[in-house]
Amino acid sequence: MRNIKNIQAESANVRNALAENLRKATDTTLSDEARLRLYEKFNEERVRRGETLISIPADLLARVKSRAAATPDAAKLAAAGGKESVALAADSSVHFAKATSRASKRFGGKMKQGTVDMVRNAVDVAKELSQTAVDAGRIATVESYEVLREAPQSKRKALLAPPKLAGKGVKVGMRLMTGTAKAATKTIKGGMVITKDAASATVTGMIESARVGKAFAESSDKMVQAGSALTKGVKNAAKEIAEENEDVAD
Amino acid sequence: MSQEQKTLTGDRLLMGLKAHESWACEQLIADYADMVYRVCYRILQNPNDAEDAMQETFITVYRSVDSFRGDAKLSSWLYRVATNRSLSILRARKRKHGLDVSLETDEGNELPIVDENMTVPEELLLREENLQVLQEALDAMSPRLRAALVLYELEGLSMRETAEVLEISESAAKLRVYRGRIFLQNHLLQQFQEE
Repeated sequence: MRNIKNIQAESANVRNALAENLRKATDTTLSDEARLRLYEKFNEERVRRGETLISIPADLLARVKSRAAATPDAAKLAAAGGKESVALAADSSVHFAKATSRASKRFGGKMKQGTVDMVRNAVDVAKELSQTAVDAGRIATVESYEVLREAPQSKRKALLAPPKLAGKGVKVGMRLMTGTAKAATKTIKGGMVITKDAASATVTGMIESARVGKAFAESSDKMVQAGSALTKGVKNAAKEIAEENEDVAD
Repeated sequence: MSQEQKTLTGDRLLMGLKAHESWACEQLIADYADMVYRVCYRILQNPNDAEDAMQETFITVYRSVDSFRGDAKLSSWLYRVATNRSLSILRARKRKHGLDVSLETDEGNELPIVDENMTVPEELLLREENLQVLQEALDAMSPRLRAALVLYELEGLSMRETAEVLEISESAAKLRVYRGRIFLQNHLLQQFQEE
């Protein structure tokens, strides 16, 4: 009840000033590109339902088209980053999976349950990293490829390529991060089991654990490199667009 | 445009949408894309998330337009869907980052750290450099308070409409708006005291 009374007692001036500044602080406008993507999203839905497409306003297309010049180079730069990222991620996964597989074979029959669990976890790690690479690769290549493939076909799509690619880049980064985090969790689990059953671990087992650990470290490093390469690609694309825009402004 | 014309246009638009007419979809986007994006952005404070929420809002509305009885205005419905989508994105974001989501689950305990006796000088609110602080404060605020504040203070909805959109009672909406304001003022005062 006291709160409601306080509402009435609040100074109208303070309230207005607060609202006014809050409005300024959160002011935003929908970009033409985002508006166009909304039309496209709507059309995707209509196609899915077997309905006719809605038409996109000509002035919106014209505005988007007028900024199309910088796009092809920028898209190429972003794609280059994506490609490098996929290669590194895949490479790291294969490397890690091989090391884990070697460890599993040598452990077989020698180790007690704790070590077997560790290996199982290590295999999960490999699977996760592998899946991460596949997902990241799929997102970066297939989707980027589609964006790039569409780009030369229409200037409008060409203009949309950099923001789309940037979006894909974020997705890839997120997937890499999620995958690496999951893998790290599994590794910790494996490590805990090993600690618990440390007494039963053989020298061979320890060596292989170290190898797996090393492979994981290398793998993680490559994941970071992959993320960095992708970021670099997207950054280059953004820089390219900015430079083109400056040229246009001049 | 008079209220009567607006209502007629709204009714006609709704009929067109129910018939899945392409002109109705075009008009829906033309009339409401800015509004929906703005409210999503103000709640989410992130352009990419706001765009996702906006797209999901329109698709959700389009998919469920057949079951919309028209008891509320089309704009109120859009506000409701947009707010819900934004809040669910915020919840997902918080879960992902492992943040405490309990602040938004208990109506009576939404804002524990608030000094309701504090007042903020008007000139402090009017300082341009405080825009950034306000943005940060909005970002730190409980999503429920933020949604109420955005709808009432920034979107200019009446308290009744704000309550309808948030599906709460009018007094609960008033309380949220009030607490939101206090939260912002406290944040600004803290900043002021630190300087």
